[in-house]
Amino acid sequence: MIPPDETPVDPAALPEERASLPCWRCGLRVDPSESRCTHCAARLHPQNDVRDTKPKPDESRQLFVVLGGFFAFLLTSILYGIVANVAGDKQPKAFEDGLVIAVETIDAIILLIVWASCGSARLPIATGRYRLRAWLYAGPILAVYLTVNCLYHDAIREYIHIEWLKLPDPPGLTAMSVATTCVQPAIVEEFFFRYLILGVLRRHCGVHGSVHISAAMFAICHVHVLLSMPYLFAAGVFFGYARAASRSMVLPVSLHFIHNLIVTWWEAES
Amino acid sequence: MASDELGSLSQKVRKDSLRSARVTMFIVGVLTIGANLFFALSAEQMVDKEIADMRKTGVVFDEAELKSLRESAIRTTQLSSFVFVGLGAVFIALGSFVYKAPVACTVAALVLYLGGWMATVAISVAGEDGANVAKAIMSGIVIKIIIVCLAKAVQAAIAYQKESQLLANDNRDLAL
Repeated sequence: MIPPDETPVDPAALPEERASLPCWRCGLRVDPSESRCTHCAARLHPQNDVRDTKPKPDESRQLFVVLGGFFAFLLTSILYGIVANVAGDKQPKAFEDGLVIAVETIDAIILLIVWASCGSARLPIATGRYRLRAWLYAGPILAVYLTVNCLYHDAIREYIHIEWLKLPDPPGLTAMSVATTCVQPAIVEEFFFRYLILGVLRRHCGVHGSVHISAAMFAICHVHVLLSMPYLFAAGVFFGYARAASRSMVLPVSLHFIHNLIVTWWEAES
Repeated sequence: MASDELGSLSQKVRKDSLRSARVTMFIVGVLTIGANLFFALSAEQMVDKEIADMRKTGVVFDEAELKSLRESAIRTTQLSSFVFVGLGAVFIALGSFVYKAPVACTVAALVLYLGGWMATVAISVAGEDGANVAKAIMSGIVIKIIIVCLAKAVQAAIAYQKESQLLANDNRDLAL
């Protein structure tokens, strides 16, 4: 006996709008028995019909869920900045570490809640050409970004002398700082901004629009380091394109981790 | 026929919602530019007035340190004001393109508005007591009205864009 899910679908038995399915490339309806689209000649994937018959998530609800998550991230960031500012330098190191761990735990919980409510936010299928290019170009571009980062922050430190607007002191290269400034942001921030937000926005906007909006959200969520926001926007654009071109989370997570590790090491050394 | 008319009527309602979002973006943009240009141009006087007020309350300054602090405060005020002038220009640009890319423009406007508001809260309470944070976030009824208006515009933009795409697809089908 054939299980109900595996019953073959006879296109002739379906109503007209189901019997013809939209082409993955041009969006026009084609006969599912064709191997190529009759309008744009795109090769029809075997999963063309599977994708169409799957229940689609409510895209409007998804967008509002990620916007809610963004607002929660933003509130966490501003509260962290204010608590750190009020506590000042008088508090012991254990207090600072505890505060950072608490904030990062809250961020991870927000990510999990948003992901659970939102579901999958995958991008369309990749082409091998873009994936290879993304991996090839990522290294040199990261080197350029790191140089710009150092120059920009040196200039800011030189230019701004107001105590409460100063950049925080570098944490130094310890196991704790690697965990809290390299590992956690690389995973939590990348999955929130590049997987969920970029993936959901991509359903409503073009690649460039979704990459730039997600990068703006990434920068704004670092409101506790106001002066770093322009650089963070640029970094968000880079990680966003890395995600969009490679259609994988491995590249942006690795780039973010390496970026933060080198910056932490550089600041500890200098 | 009746469903077509209903469809075009609902599309018109969404377009009205987008129009009010566009007006909101223009007003926010113009006000942001105007207010921040004023702050940038009068930064020196504002900082001098602040110093004079502090002197009146009996605060004694080390003159050499005061000079560098004054210059830094002026530069910082001008820098932040020009950043907000840029933000105002972005709002006007987003308002101009709201019919071309409704979802992208409304989402970007909402995100930037929230970001600008939070940055202002961070700046206004950072130098003071942290207990003012909740007060700063809760105050400002106009800010909340603008946020609700932009959130409603995002909702309308999603429906508007979807309907426009369906209409465009139908027209392409008919043309073929």
